[in-house]
Amino acid sequence: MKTPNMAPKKILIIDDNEGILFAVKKALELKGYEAHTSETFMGVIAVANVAPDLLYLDVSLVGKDGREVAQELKGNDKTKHIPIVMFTAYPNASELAKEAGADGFLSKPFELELLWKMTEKYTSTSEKD
Amino acid sequence: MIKIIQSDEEELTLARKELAYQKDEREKRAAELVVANVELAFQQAEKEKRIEELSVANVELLFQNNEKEKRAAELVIANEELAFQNKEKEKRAEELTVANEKLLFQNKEKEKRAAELVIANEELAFQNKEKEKRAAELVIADIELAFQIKQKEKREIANKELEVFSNSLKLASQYSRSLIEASTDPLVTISLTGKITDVNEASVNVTGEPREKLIGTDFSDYFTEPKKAREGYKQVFKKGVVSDYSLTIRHKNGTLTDVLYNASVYKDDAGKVLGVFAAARDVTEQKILQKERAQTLSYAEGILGTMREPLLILDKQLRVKSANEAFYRTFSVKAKSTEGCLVYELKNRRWDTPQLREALEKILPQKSAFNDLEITFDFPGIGSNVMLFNGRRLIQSEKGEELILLAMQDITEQRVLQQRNDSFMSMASHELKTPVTTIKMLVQILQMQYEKTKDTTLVEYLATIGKQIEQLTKLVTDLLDVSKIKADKFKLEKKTFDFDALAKEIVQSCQLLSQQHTIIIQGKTKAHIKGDRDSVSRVFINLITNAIKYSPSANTIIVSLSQDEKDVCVGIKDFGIGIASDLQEKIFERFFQVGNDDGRSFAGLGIGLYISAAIVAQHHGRIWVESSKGMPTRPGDADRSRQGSTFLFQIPKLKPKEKKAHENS
Repeated sequence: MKTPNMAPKKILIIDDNEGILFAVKKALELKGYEAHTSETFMGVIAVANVAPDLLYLDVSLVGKDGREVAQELKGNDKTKHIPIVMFTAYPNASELAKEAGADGFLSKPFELELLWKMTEKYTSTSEKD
Repeated sequence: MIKIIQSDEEELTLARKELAYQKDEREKRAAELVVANVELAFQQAEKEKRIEELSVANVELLFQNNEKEKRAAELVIANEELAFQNKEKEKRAEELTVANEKLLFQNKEKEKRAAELVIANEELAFQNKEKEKRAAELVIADIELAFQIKQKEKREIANKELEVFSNSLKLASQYSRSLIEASTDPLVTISLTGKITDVNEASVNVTGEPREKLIGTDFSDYFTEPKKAREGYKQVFKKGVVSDYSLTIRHKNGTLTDVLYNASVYKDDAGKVLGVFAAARDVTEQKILQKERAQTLSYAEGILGTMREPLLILDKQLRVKSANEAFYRTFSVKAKSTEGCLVYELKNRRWDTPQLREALEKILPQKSAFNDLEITFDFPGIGSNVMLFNGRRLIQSEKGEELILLAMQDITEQRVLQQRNDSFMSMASHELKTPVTTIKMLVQILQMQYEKTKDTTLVEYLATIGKQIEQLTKLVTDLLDVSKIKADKFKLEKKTFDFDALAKEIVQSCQLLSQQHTIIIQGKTKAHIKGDRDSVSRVFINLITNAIKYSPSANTIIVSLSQDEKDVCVGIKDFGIGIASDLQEKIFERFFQVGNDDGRSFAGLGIGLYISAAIVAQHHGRIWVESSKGMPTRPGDADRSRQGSTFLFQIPKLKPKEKKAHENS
């Protein structure tokens, strides 16, 4: 959230659908977040370099399963502190997210309000860290 | 004679005794005379003395003289007597002599008789011996007699038996004659020259010719094939017997009767063949039955042959008796290599699985059947094959043989398609969700940005797009649910909630969907249920949106809430087009839709009720519809506008104890 005298929170969105990337980016920017997007997972180092306050990760990515990405990030010291919220269109979203070690999930199609609430929730937690 | 002798002797003795007595008497009298003389002397003396007494004495004397005279007289008599007795004695002596002589003679005679007696005794002994001999002969004779009596009895019995036999022979003859006559099969005897010698009534009936006309004519005259008939009885003469010889008898009126002849020769005692006895069996009906059976068989074979599913008929030992075309075609095998094989030996023993063995081996003993036995055969390196088997017991009525009908279907491809279909549904709905999410978010962003402006047209457009996206979202979610239900992966998250509160909430939000309809809540359940709140909401929403959709000319929807001992009950009543009774069950099927009177379908995929039913089922409840197309929903309700449908569902409510526990928590 855009607050005075503070750098905006940085959010990274990884999803293979450019429509989602665009819409989520625009929605988060409306609330003053700094949104970065990627259609593919470029590796742990790349994520560590961006150093997002929150990562939105789609379950299904081209060539890679979002759950494996989450596990990889959560298993690496450089990235394990980054909160991960997974987008999923599957019915058992919560189970999938938990299995992968993600912090939360958003079932598609989700409401704008919910996206904002979720973002605020995880970025404020990271602020406390 | 002896007796006579005895009586003579006695008489003699008596005479002697008499004689002795008389002598004694004489002596006595002499003595007495002496005494009397003395007495006289005394009395003389006395007379002198008794002069006086003389008168007395004289008297006395007189008296005594008298006495004396008396006595003298008596003495004379006694002497006479004595003389007589002497004479008698002499006579007796003479008689005795005669008697002695007689006795002597008699003794001699006696001796003679004794001698004769000895001879007689000897004779007697001889006769006794003879008698014994005769007795022995008699015993033998008796035995002989007894034997002869027995023989006689036997002869009598034999005679009687003969009589009985002769009678029974007569009866048997009559009996066999009546049998022959009673037989419905035409019977005939034929002479060596092929002439009919005897017939029964049935022969008369089958030929239409009287007995008199038949006898003496050629046997072969009465058949459609006389030559074959002649060959037939010639064969009998040659072989002695012929069976099931097929001929056709022609009736005088042209009627034909198919028969099978059994015939044999008959002979006299000497074994000389006299003729042929032939019995015909009418097989017309049998032939009809045979034809029918052949037709049935061909019908059955036709069915089996055209069946697309492979089919096997197994015997009791589970060996292949036959298979249909589909079997040979499907498994690319030939009848030669299949028939007679054990079912487990087929397909290189790939079918030899415990599952199939168990199912097949209990069909006959338990008289059971199995349907849709699904077996997956894994072929390493090739993949797997899924087969469905149906097996049932079959009795071949003719022989009573127990058989097994084994039908099979390879559903491997079907399974693959089904899985592909299910995963397609899942994929499709998943893939649809992403663009829907994008559109939805962007519309919401736009709505936020333009709400502040006065551009009402744009706001209106965005609102419409928003509504359509909501609908699209719902459809996508429903489709995904259908695929989940189909895949049996439809799981709910159950929590306890207040049912009336949910109903109120849903009705309020649904009211926003239609300005035309007023949704009225009637009654309360006052109950909590344990269930998936979102899913139960979807049931409500589905039913209310349907009510709105299918009652375009009505303006009221009634949601009634009630409860009974076990369940909460919901009724959602519309006053729309109604549902015909034959469709009332079908509407809960997947992709089913009720059209309106002009045949036009209402929009939608026809999955709302299908999902609702699945949700209610997951809650162990029940959902149904009460409706009559074009008829008022309540009897006596003449207002056509009140026709329509009432959808009802009930779900088990919390028991009071559970409700209390929930409130406390």
